Amino acid sequence: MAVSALHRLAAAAPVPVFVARGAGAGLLGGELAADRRLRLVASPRQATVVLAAGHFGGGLGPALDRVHDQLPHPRALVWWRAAGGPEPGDDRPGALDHPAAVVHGPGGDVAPVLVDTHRRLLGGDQATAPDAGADEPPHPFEGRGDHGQGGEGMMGGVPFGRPMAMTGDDRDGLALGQVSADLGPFLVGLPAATVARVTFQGEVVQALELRPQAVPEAPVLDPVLARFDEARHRPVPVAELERARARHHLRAVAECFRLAGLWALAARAASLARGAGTGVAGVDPAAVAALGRRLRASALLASWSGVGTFPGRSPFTGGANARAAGLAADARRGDPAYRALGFAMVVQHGGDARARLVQRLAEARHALELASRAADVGAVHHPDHPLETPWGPAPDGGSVALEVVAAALAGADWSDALATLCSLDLVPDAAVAPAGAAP
Amino acid sequence: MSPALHADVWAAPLIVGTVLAVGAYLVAVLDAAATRVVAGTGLAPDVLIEPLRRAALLVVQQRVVTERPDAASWALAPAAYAGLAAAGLAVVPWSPSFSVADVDAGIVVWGTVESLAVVAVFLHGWSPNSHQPLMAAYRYVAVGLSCLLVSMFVLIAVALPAESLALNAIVDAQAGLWNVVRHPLGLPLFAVVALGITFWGPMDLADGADLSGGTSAEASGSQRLAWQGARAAMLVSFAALGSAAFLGGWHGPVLPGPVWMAAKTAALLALLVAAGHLVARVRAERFVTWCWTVLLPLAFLDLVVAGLGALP
Repeated sequence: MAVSALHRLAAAAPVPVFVARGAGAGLLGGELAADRRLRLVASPRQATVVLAAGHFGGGLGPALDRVHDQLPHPRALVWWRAAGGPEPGDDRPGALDHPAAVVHGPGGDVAPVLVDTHRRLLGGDQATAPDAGADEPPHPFEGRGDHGQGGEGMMGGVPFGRPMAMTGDDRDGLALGQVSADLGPFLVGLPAATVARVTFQGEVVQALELRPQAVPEAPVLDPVLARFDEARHRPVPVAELERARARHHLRAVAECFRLAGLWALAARAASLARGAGTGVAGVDPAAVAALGRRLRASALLASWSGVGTFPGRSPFTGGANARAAGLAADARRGDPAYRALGFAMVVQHGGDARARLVQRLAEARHALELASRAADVGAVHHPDHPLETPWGPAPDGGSVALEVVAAALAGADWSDALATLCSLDLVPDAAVAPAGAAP
Repeated sequence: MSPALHADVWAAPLIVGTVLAVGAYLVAVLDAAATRVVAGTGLAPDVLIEPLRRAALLVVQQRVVTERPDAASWALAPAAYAGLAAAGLAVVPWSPSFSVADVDAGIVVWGTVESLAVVAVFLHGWSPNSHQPLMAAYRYVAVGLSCLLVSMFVLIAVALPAESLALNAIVDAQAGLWNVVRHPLGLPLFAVVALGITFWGPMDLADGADLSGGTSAEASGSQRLAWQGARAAMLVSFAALGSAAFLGGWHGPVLPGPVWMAAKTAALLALLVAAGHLVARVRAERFVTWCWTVLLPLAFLDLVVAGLGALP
């Protein structure tokens, strides 16, 4: 049977997975890039399986449904969730009601589940997932207005939800059409659970609004987030904290590689992140240094040089973003456990996307070295001492108003804006629910 | 020049189609191998079958149609791009006595192929009626147009020593000295043009992840397979042209001419594919600036060097 032979061949292909990052998932899903049985893809149209990592309450639910319905058939959804989170259907029906498989907790090995789901789909043992949303235009317009054009007058209609592209002055002194679009919340590079409302002129971002989706509090899936959360309340070995820090920064570097089209290097960085997370054997800091050499040879640093530099003083008062701008601020200096280990801060200059990428990789390497020394002496961080998370001093240092970032990106090319956001790795909590943010 | 053997009207599409299909498969294998080597996940024999598995998946996957696409253009774009790759490959000679279409002005044919390739990629981004593909299409046009002038200077530079626009004569003229040595700027500049027009690796400004896959962000199933195939085919054509124009074509000791051509084409392909995994994507605006202010003057210098060398 020719058809079944074709399906068997297709079933053995690397599984194209689209990762939808929900609340509490951090950058955990990106680590799957290290698995050669999987391919993380940039568009849901390329995937057979959508991996819903974390929790999708509030505005994220409808967004997940839209992404889910964009996958071509045969398709399936795998839900990677924290133990004890809200059950599907608690607030609204959606794609999460009928997952092909559910993996509980970060320790659950999700890759074999994704491979198995893909094989069952192609083998006909798993039915393709039906649409989660209704197949109707999100912006009905037909039949409205004097001429059925959807609105008042010549320009008033919004057919297919797209208003007429009116002209406006651009940065080169030309009058070009402006188009508005909502991108995200699952786009590579965007902060977690954030939709970018962009007004484009060509590829230039005329105006940008970063709109965090209102997400109810959700249990944490990502062990990095969990570890730093735990360290605020109880003593945690420094070695574990530093390994978690290295793991996070390596994942963030992997995201930047993916955005820059360096998929294989992203897999390498993700593999190191996963190694840093395994704890016992860990990962050799020399391997991180080798990745740094690949990074320099890739010309990515040259390409991102001067991209996403914030004018004047950096809006970041702490965290890796501040240190990438030359600000010598690190809460670990105030922790006696770190002082006993001879902690020395890593700082860059420039404050651009290049400096942030270099900073993250340097901090990952430094953290692994610290972890090794801390494990030897059994150093422990106590909750009454200052805590430096990968984003800045706890509880909310290093965060920055999204409006400040968005305003700084107006006038940039979209790819530069996205590179900036990716390199910033904005604070997950602030991205999910900043004080006073619009829903 | 020795009398050329031409493929007849029936054999020509078969030969070109076979070379492009085998070449596209080779591109996919090289890409899978390069990915694993750079990622450090270990090279294994299954890289030989992985492209077939991925192709099979795209065959059985649904071809999603977006809201109000320009359906005809969407279907036409991969066909046009593959057709241009075929036209380009057809004029490349494989031995002193064989090319599928031995036209007198092969270089001019290539100028046409490159210009129309920009149109085909634009159509692919335009037709799904979607934001990100459209933006990628416009971005690609800016890059593609910038590459075209560089390409023309570089290709005219290889025509000067041969005193002919025919690719057969251009290869003939490299019997003593390959063009890559005669004017060394040519091949690196040509490689940038090849990566630019095929939007591969560091020049993937048409289908990059920053626009969710760019012009192919909405492409799935057979549409995606056709597009990926056409893109690999164009890379093969560029590599074949590069071998003929810069690496002495069929010239080489012991082995027959076509074997040398195939080996040089494969080597050039490996280089272009590996670049995709080792070098980050350039920024569109910076590349366009760089292209007009650095590459174009370098291409002109290449032309001057070739011209001086061709003086009696």
